[in-house]
Amino acid sequence: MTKQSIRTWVWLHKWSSLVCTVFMLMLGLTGLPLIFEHEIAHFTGADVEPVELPADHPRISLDRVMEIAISQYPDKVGMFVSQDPDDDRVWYVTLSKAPNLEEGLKQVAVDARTGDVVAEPALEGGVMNFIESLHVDMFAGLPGMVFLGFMGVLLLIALVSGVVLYAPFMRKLGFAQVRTDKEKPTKWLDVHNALGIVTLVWFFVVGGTGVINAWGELLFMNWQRTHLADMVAPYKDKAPLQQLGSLQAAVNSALALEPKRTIQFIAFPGTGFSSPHHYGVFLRGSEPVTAHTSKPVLVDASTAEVTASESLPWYLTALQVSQPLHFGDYGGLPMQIIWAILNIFTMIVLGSGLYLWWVKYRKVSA
Amino acid sequence: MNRGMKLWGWPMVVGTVTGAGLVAALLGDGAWDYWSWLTLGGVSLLCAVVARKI
Repeated sequence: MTKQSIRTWVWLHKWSSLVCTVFMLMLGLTGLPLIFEHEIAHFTGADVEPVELPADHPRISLDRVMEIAISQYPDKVGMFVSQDPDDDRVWYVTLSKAPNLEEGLKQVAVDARTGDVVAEPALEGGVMNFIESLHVDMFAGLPGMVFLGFMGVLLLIALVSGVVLYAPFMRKLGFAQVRTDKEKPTKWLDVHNALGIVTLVWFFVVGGTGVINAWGELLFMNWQRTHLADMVAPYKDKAPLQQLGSLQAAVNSALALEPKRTIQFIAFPGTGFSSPHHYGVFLRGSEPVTAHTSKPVLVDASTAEVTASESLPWYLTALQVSQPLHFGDYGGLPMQIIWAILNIFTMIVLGSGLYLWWVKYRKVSA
Repeated sequence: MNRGMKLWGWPMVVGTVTGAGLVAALLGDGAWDYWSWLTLGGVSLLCAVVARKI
């Protein structure tokens, strides 16, 4: 590698890192508690704990679940109904003033067997929601997500340029060698290089999947505009529904079409995941490989007939597969702990990079 | 050992082990999870060894 090309790569590494580092440190710090979101909810008593009943205890219908949820907030209507992937004992009903209105949302957790309201998880306010909003969009909605996505791209450029520069900077040193007998900046340069190369693949995957997640809203909007619009096209000129048909019947029709899948969530007519005339029933696979992907089934909200169903396009499948790889929530608590440890080490890489730039900047300015 | 392998040998091993750990838990539960914990835990341990030198 020529001196000129090394200078070019150093410039690229320096500026791509400098611009994104503060944001990446913020994402790393806010990401730490989010890794343990469920554990924190359990510890603070904010999670949902249904009563223990025999596994074959009869279940109430989804129509009854909706009646119970809406009785808590009679001025609201159904927006979504969902279930945890590993606990089908509770239905989480999200309510709103109108199906397409995302403000003033309320969620009611209803026991799928007894019909008891077991919790009303807060969708707004609270420390964890604050941290999550900061992490996802910095309270700026879609522009915030797109911006953080660009910061993620800069991180990926910094990682690639860091790998290119690894060779000229490390060829005289052994793997993960740190010159502890040298001055502080040299020692930190070695630590930066060693931790950077060891965490590279993990950092690249978490950063890359973060970019995909950040731009997920745009991908979803594209799906709405193309695939979903095609699926509901025959209903385009139909008059609005006066009354919704049975939700349970709609879900039964969807599950009859895809008996090996389970419910991920159901979108009510009028939300962005359905049409004004359809329930959008999103079904997840039952195998570990397919559990993170979903298939939408559109069911006529008055007749409970399935009118369309097709697999999500590749870019939304990529988005869904990328989510566990970003959150680290797919291998139990040990995986979450490892995720947190690697997160801390990557923050050391970021912080040491910033320190090295500052030392050099002061030296040049002096 | 040639210069390229001396420089990139261990980084490639660590990268491959990390990749295997990341993918394994996606493919299944039980043994797949254990494999992920073992490989990614090993990478974390290596980071801790480096960080001890700070």
